[in-house]
Amino acid sequence: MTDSSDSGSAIREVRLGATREEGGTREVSYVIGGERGLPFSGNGPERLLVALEICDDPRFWPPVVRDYVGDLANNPDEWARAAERTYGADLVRLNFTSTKQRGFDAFDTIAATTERVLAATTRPLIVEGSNEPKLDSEVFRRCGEAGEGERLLLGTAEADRYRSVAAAALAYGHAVIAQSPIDVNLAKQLNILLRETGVPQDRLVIDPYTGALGYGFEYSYSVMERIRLAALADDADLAMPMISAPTDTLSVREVREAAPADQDAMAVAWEFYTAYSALVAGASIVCVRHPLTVERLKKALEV
Amino acid sequence: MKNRLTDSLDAAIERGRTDLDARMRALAGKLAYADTAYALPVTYAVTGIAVRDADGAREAYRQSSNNLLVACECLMAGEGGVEGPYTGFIPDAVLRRLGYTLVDGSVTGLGLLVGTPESPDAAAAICREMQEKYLLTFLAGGVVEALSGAGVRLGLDYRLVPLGPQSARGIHFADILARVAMMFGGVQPGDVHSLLGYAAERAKAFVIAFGGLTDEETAFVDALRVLGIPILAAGEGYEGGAWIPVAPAEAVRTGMDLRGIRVTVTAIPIPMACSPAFEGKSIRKEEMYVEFGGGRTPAFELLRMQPREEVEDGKVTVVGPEVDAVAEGAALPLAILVDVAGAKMKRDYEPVLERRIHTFVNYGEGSWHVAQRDLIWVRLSKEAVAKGVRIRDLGTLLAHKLRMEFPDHIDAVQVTLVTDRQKVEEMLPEARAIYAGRDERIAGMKDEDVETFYSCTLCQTFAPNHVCVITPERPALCGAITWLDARIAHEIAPAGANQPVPKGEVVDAVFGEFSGVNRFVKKASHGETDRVSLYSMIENPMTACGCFECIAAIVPEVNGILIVSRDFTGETPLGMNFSTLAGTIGGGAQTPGFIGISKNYILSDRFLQAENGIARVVWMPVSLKEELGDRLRAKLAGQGMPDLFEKIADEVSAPTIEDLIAFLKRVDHPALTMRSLI
Repeated sequence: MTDSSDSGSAIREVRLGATREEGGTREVSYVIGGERGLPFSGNGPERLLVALEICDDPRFWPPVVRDYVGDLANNPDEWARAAERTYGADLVRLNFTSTKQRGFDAFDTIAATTERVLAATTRPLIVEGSNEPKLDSEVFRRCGEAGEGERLLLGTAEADRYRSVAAAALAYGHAVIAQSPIDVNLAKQLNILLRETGVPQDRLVIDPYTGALGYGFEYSYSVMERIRLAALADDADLAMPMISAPTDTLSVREVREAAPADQDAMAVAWEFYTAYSALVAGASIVCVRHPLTVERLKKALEV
Repeated sequence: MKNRLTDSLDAAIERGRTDLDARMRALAGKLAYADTAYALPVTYAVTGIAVRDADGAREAYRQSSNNLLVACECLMAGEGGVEGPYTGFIPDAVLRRLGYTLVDGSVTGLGLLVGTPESPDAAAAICREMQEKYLLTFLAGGVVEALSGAGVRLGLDYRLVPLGPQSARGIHFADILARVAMMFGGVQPGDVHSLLGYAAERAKAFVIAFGGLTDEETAFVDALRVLGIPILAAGEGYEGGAWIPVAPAEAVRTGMDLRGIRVTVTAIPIPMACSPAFEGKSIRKEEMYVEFGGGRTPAFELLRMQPREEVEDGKVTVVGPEVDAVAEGAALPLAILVDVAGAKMKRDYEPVLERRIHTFVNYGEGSWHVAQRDLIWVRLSKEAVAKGVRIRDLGTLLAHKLRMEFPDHIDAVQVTLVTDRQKVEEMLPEARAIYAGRDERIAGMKDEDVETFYSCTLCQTFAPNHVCVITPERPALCGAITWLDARIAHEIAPAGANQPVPKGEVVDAVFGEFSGVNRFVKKASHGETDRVSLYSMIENPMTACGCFECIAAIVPEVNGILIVSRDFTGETPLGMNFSTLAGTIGGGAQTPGFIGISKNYILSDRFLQAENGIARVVWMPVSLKEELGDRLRAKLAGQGMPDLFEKIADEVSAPTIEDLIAFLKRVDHPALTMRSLI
C-alpha cells in the first residue's frame, strides 16, 4: 500500500430507509459507507449490516431454508417480521422469486407484497425485483411505486439491464444495487452508466457478485479488495459501499448432500464463512438466507 | 386571421407575442394546477418562482425575460380544466409513471401533434408509426377530433394522450418536460441552464404542427424551440421561419432522426438463427449449397458512408441471380456493398465497421465468411437454403446487425448484393482504389498529427495498475487495438475501458514523454506509475499486463535489443524463453530494459526511438522475421539500411549469447558501435 489511503478519500455514504421525519415510515434508517481505509483497519465507521433474504414464492428457494422456516415461507410479511424480531436481522431483502414463473403477469401482487412487507417491518428494506428482463419494466415500476418515500435499496442493475431499476430509483427516490460479474472494470462502467442515467452517486451500492467459499469466492475477495483500494486512491466511480449475497452457498454439494441431521449446521457454516469473508473484503451489507446464519454473523461482529 | 399563404411565419409569431403580452397584462385572479408539487411547472423550472396568482405570474414572466412558454402556462392555468376524454394538466403521480417509461427505455421519445390535419388518415398514419416506434404522443387541437373521427383509439394505454381541444393545451407538453427534468434530471427550479441542457440532451422530443394554428398558438409552438425541440411543419402556412417543412409521411422519421431516437430491434426477420454461438462454425464443401469468391469467382465487400438522404434504412437489393437460380455446388461472383449513414458516422470508421461484416455473416447459422476486402470467401449451407435462406437474407442480416451494434453511429443501412459477374468485375477497381486510400490514411497517421491518444485498461481485471497508452504509431501491446479502434471503441462505449488521453505538453519528444499522458497514467494506475516514455524501454517504460505479442529485452553483452514473440517456445540468447521473460515483466509494473510490445510496433517509426529504434535489434526468432518479412525489409530500406535484415540473428544463426556475439561481429551489426545502452 502506498500512502494514498490516508489522503482523505472516503467511501460515499448511502442512506437506506426513511423514518417519518425523512418522509417514510421506518423506525430507523441506516447510513452505510464513509470508510477511509481498508476494512477492520480502524479507519472507518464500519457500519456493517446483516440482511435476511426472504421470497414471495418458496418454490424457488433453497429446500434447507424452506424446511427450517416452515409455514413462514408462505407468508412474506410474517417471514419478514420474524427476520427482524426473532432472528435479529438488521434488515430484510425481499426477493420476487414469483417472477421466475413462466408467463408471470401478476404485477399487482408485486405492489401488494411490497406494501405488506413494508408494513410488517420497522427497518429499511432491500427489494430484489424481477428475475426476467422482459418483466423488468412492469415489476420495478410496481416495487418503486409501492415503496415511494421509503428509500428502498432496489436490485439489481446489470450492464445490459439497468434502465428499469434506475428509472424506479429516480422516480420514487430509491437506492440501487449495481452488480457486475467479478470485474473491477465492469463495476466502474456500470456505475458510470447509472450516473449518466441520472442516479445520484450516493444512491449506489456495488455488488461485485460472488460464488461460495471454496467455489470461487477468492476471485470476488480480490475484486472487492481492488474496488476498495481504487476507491481509497480517489477513484470516485468506485467509491461506493458494497453488498454481497453469497446465494450459491446453499446449493453447493456439501450442503445439498449433508446428512439430514447436519443440514442446517452445514448450511449455516457455509453461509457464515462466505459472508464473513465478504465483510472482511469490504462489504457493508451481507445477505444470507438461513435464519441461524444471521445470529452467528451478528455475534461474530460484536467482538 | 390573416392569409398565412402570403404571410411569413415570423410575422405570425410576432403578432402572437403581442397578443400574449396583452393577455398577460390583463390576467387576474388565482392560478394553479391540481395535484402537483411543482406549481406552474415551466414557470417554476425557468424562474424558480412558484406562481399562485396573476401578479406572481407577471413577475415571473418579467424575470424570464418574457419567455412565451411562461406566458402560455400562466394564461392556461387561469383557464381551468377540460372535459373528458381530454386529460388537461397531467398530475404528478401519472407523470412519474410516464417519466419512468422514458428513463426505462420502454418509451423511446416524445411527440406533440398540434393543429388540424388536412387529412385525418395521414394523421392516423403518423400516430400508428409513432406507436410502432414506441414514442409517447401528446395531442392538442383539432387533431384530436380528426383522429377520433378516423377511428383511432386515444388514451394513455395507447400512448396517444389527448391534452385538450385547443392547440394551446400543448403547453402541458412543456410542463411535462419541465417536471421530468426536475424529477428525474435533478434540475433545480430556476436553473434555466441545466433545464435547457436536460431538454436538449435527454428529453428526445419533437413537434409536428398541422395547419390552422392561430397567431398565439403559432407563437407558443415556436417558443418550444428554446428547449431544443424541432418543429416539423406538416401543414401549410408556416413558411419563412425556422420550422422544418415535411411531408406527413416523412414526419416521424424526420423527427426521430433529428432527435437521434432509435428503436432497438431484437429479432432479425430471416429464416435462419443468428447468434454469436454460430460464429466459430464452418461450412464444408459437402455441406455447401453455393459459394462466392475464395478464388473461384471475383468477390469483394465494401462499406461506405453515404449522405443520409441516399440511404434507405433496411433496404436490401440483389442484382443478378439469386441462389435458387443456380444449381447446388455452384460458385457465384459477389459484391457486398453496404451503405451506412449517421449523424455521428465518420469516414474513418468505415474499415472498422467493414470488418464486422465478417463477424455478422458468421453469426448466421447457415452462412460462413472468411477473409476481407477483395479476398472474401462466403458460403451458404444446403440446410439453410432448404429452409429458404437466400442471398438477400445476408443483406437483411447485415443491415440489422449493424444498426443493433452501432446504434449511436448508424442511423440507416442499406445493402446491395451483386451476383452479376460483369457488374462485380466492373466495380472491383474502384473498390481496390478505396482500400488503397484507407491503407494510406492509416499508415500515414503520425503521433504528432493527433492531440489525443487513447488508453486501454481492459486488462486491469488481472493487472490492476496497468495502463496501455495507444497512439497512432504504437498499437496496444496485445496487437488487437489500434489507435483508430480505440477511438471508435470509446465513441461506442464512452464509459468503457478506452478513454481519451490528452497529450498535453511534450516533455521529451525523443523519449515520447507527454505531460497529459503522465497525468492520465498516474490516475489510471491508481498512483502506481507517474511517468511513462512511450518510445523508450529504459527510461520509464510502459507497464505490461501479460497480453503482449512480443517482448523486447536488452542484451547488455552486445549493446542491443532482442525481440521474442509469444509463439516462439525455445530459449533466447538471454537464456530465458518467452514465458520466463513474460513472468518477469507483466502485472502492471515498469521493468526498465524489458517491454511488452505488439508486432506492428516493430514496424513503426517510433519503435524504441530513444534507444535508436530498429537498428538496435540484434535477434528475433525466424518465425517473427518471416512474418514481418517484406514489410520489415521495406522499412529498413526506407531508413537506408537495406542490409540490416540479414544482420538480425535468429535461433538458427545464434542460439546462445556466445553465438550471438560472434554473429554480430561477423556481420558488423550497427548496435555494436552505438552509445552504450546501460
